[in-house]
Amino acid sequence: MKKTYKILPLSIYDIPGIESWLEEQANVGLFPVFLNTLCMFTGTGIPGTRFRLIAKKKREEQPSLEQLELCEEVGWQYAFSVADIYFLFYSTNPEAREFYTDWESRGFSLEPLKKQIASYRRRKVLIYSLLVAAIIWILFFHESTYDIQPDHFTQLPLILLNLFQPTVLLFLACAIWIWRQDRRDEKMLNSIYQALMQGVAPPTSKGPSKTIVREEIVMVALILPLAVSLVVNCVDALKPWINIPLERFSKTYISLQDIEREAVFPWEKLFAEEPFGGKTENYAEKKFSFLAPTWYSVTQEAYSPQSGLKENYFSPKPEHGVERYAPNLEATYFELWIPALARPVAKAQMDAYRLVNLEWSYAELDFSDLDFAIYATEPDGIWQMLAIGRANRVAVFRYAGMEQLPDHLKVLSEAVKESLL
Amino acid sequence: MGEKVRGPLTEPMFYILMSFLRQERCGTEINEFVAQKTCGRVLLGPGTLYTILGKFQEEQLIEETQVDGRKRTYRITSKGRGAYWEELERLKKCVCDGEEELL
Repeated sequence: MKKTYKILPLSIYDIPGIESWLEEQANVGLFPVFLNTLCMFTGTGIPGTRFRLIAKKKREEQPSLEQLELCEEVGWQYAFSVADIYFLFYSTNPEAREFYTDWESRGFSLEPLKKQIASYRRRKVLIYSLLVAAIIWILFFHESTYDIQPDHFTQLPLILLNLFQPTVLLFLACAIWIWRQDRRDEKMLNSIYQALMQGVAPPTSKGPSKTIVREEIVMVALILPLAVSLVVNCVDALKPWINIPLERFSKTYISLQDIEREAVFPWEKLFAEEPFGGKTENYAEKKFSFLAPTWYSVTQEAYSPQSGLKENYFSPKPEHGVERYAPNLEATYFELWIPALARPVAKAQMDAYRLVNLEWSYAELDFSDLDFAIYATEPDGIWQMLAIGRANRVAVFRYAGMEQLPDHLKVLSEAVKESLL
Repeated sequence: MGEKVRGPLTEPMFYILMSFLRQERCGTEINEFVAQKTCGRVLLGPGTLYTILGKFQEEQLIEETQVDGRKRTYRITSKGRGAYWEELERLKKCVCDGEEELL
């Protein structure tokens, strides 16, 4: 049997409107077999059919057999359940007694629906409030026992960049869109309920609306990419932008070998067997924010060919060659839409790189080619950080090795010399 | 917290409650009683009947006594009788007030 599909051009709570619309469809030979945002019709509609939507008391409720029998006796047939909200009844008999013979009882029938909506709204407000409160607490008030130098607000610029990620924006757009539709639907139901409870006819429906159809299309257009994006974000194997081997990574980055005086090599060139975590030692990861269209990080680790038998920076007391010099360089590069964000983003990324159980000292460095250079060290330790910026470009490095990053400012500044795009 | 004060009964509500005063009834019997009592002036649609029965059950004015296959039977509770008498008194006063003005 041929099926016809239509988008419901009315609010799901515009009861008189939906009933009239279904009657119009029946007049052109269409009979509903499924009704929700998307409606399905067969060509078995009989002109003159009346439709009535009866609010359910509970979502899982089914009409009782006695109720169905009584309805049939007076000329009404049960069609199906609509969106877990209504039962749909229809009558092809023009003599059949009206389903509701007074306005008030129809108003009473909407009470459970009103309660459900109010409870849904309360639950939603509660969940969103808890979520926001939890996020705020984690971001700004939570203090880890091991964090000896906390600064809760430093990471705000990075949070801002993350907020402008496509998935987050899609989620926010969906949430706002749904909230807007819910408000409209709730107002519609309230106006119908108030009129019925005063014993008068419900306000006349404005009828099918192209705006509502367009809004539903926008909703689908938002939800589909959001769903895909959420699935992709949950499965690492589906993310082509993470764990990119450096051989296949074409963007500008500073190679670890370029700042090492001693020759160092990736593990593949030195060992037959990969070291622990070897597969993920040298890789890049891309990110995207509408505020930072170019945003990526590169992680590198390399090894000295000389084993730990001889004393070196990491192995002052080598034992049987177990340890060897293995410097590590992590770097994150940004190209921002708003140049004013460069310095705050650099400081935020430094905070993200900060190893929380270490005490850091920060100092500004002067370098003619750069707008700023912030150097961070942890006294008596092996870790250093350097954040540099020029115009809207930022590079932040975290390094463990025997070199001093300020000695390599000229090389490092190449990362922000030209556009990273 | 005090119990919610119920407003006046609508006409279909009044007759449905009245139908239980002498006996327990099922949906079809209620319909017949109301149609007969009002000489067809008040006819109950199936939506009206079941919405009111649901509401009365919720407010404990009636209770279900028997489920026999498709047939569900209800009876009035003492709270239901109270609500009926209260409404009857209100209606009597209305009639009295109306008649007084005609004299």
